[in-house]
Amino acid sequence: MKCQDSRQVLYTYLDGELSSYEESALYGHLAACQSCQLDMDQARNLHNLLDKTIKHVEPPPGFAKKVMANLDKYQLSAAEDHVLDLGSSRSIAKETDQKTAAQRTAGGFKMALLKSRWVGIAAGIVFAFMSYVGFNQVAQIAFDPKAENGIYFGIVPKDYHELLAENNVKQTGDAEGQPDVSKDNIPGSENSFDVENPVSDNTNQRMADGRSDTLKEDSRSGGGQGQQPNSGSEGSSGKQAGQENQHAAPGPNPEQDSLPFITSEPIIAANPTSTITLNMFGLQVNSAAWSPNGQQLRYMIEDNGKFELFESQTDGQGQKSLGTYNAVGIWSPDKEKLLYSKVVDGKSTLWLEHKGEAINLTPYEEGAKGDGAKWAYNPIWSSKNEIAYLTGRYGGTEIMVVDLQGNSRRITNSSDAKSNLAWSPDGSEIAYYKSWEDKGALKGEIAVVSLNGEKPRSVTPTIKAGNMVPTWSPDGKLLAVNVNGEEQGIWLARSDGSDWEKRLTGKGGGKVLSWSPDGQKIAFNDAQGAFHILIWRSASGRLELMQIPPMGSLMMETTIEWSRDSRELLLEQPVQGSTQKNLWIGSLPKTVTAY
Amino acid sequence: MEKLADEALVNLTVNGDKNAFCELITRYEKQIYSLTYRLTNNPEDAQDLAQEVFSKIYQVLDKYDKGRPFFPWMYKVASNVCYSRLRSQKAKAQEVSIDKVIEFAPLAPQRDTHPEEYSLARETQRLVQQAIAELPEKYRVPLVLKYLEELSYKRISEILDLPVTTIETRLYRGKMLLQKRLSKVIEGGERYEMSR
Repeated sequence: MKCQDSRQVLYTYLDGELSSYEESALYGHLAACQSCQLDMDQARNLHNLLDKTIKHVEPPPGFAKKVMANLDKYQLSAAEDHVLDLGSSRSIAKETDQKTAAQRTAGGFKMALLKSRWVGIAAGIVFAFMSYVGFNQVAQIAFDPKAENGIYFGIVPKDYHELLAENNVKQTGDAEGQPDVSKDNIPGSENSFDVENPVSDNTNQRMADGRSDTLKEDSRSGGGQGQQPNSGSEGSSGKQAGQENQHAAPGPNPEQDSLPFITSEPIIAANPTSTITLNMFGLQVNSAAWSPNGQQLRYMIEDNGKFELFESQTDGQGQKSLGTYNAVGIWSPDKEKLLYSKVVDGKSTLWLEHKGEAINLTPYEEGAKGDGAKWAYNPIWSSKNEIAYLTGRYGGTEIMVVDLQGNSRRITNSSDAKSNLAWSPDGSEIAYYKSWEDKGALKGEIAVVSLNGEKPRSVTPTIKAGNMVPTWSPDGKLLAVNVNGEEQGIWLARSDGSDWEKRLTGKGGGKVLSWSPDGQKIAFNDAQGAFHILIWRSASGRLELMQIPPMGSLMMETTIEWSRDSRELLLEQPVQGSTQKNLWIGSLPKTVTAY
Repeated sequence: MEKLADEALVNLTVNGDKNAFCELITRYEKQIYSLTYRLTNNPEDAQDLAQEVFSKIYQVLDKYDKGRPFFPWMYKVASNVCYSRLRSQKAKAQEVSIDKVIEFAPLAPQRDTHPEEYSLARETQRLVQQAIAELPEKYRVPLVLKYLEELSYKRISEILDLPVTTIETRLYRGKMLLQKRLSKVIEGGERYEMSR
């Protein structure tokens, strides 16, 4: 791709209209061309400005009455004014495919959320919306006829276990041309390595097919606009429809079911609303995180050797100072305590700072081994306010855990290398990558160790891998693994070690992997550092993959944090030659977050 | 009435029930007014144009194919009324050519008035709205359809009866024009994000 081609394509890319092939070509060019990276920044700035500016506005009060009053008058003058080819308008309206109905529905859904007063349209919209996203993605619908200003409805998405399993069934069904394949027919142990990314046309075609399927359900369900009762019975009918549709899918007890078998790459989302909006925060900062209420940002700015903590909205408005700290570090789950490394007597030590007080949490052991930097490093917080970290003091690499009073214990006792620690959501176990050299090749696996002293268990087979990064599903039942090496990709394993070898995508190989709090999405970066998001729940009813627009250099070292509502991502990107970092806020498209 | 589907309301309207049409207006006034406001950047013009849109819809309602969803059909009529109106206004006013538009001086924020009330975010928004409203209509209409209703290139091409490639090119050119006009706002983007 040449620069000239790239410039036009940038805008098409930001509109989410590029095929995955064109996207790859663009990324390839951007990686090598600084000038086009700058163009990309400018194009993105404009795109974001337009996105923020071109919003709906409320008409003046009494507008409808005014229109009605003037109807006849306008009718006479307007009739001669416009040369509107209604014949063509009509024929094109006829040609408009059912996707149009779905788009309208999506728009209508937004309206309904904005306190629509009409029970009928709300019911119709919910019904049609469900058809659009697929009944099978919605677990429950509830109507509240007592809601102020009319009716309120909520849609509760299904658990991601169910969706993953259903995705499994769907994909297998497609491959065999049978929409309803029973679970028994799923080749659960087959490896997906051989199936490579289909070209974009195919993926789009598959997406279109998926949509037409769901729309068929729409017509079957009677298009009940305005006909539905405004009571809880709606909810039950929605649920029933969902259940009918998932007869091949496992029930709510995921332990008894095999993991989803993915026969092909997830769909590369290429529809216009699938672009992730990326906004750069106006300051370079350190230790950025979402605030305790999940709505605002916290970040530190260096000031004369100290670090001042600020909180503000994501656009920088409403900034206020929250005091100063001695260093930058990582925040406890409640975002109140700061943990950082400090070298004392030539050894790296862990310090906890809270309300102006700093204490050393690292146990000192006379005669212990380990050079300075390996004394205590790579700490992570658990949900129970305990801290796991690595140490080289016993010879190899071991995991230790310390509580906030400084009580520490050694968790592992093996000489293999360990890294990439990840606490289970309940704070009772730690997953990690253990690796060793075998005949000149690096091999490794993900192991899980419990704090109760049990022997660590392997949850993946041993594979040749440059790196493996684990992350837990919010309920602790699954582990996703970002694998770098020959078997690159995002894999899924049960945390009890009972199942593995289900690759969700061949993209991956980076150092970052993060499961969203709602369990529906996994953010990760690939071997080139580019960030992607896998989404279980999408309009197509399949796994979908989105890419976060490239942010320039050092993306490989960028860290990521999901917002509490799983709609936004905070990305902290190192800056060449600076200790401060760039901050980006990535917002998922509305179609993903609409319900 | 409020519980009836769009299509049923159209039926009633065609059979002479004006209240049914009033209900349709109430349902979609926000979307139509937003369209006309974003295209004109002027509340009065927007009201007039929205009035014209609904009048046109009323007038051609009997041509609506009831087997199809109402909203896309209505939005297509609305977009075409707006497009025609903007074009005829331009013809009447004999405005500057596109080349002149390209050479427009970049818009810059005005900071001199009421510094205590000055809001960078508001000022930025005002400039962007102004720049959009001054785009040639053949770029403005697809741009507003794209961002306001998040329509795909394909849907915009159906609404405006133009090939998808033309829509892509017009959006690209429109954005290039905006980028030039808003260069100061865009370059100052980081500062505009912050209010320290």
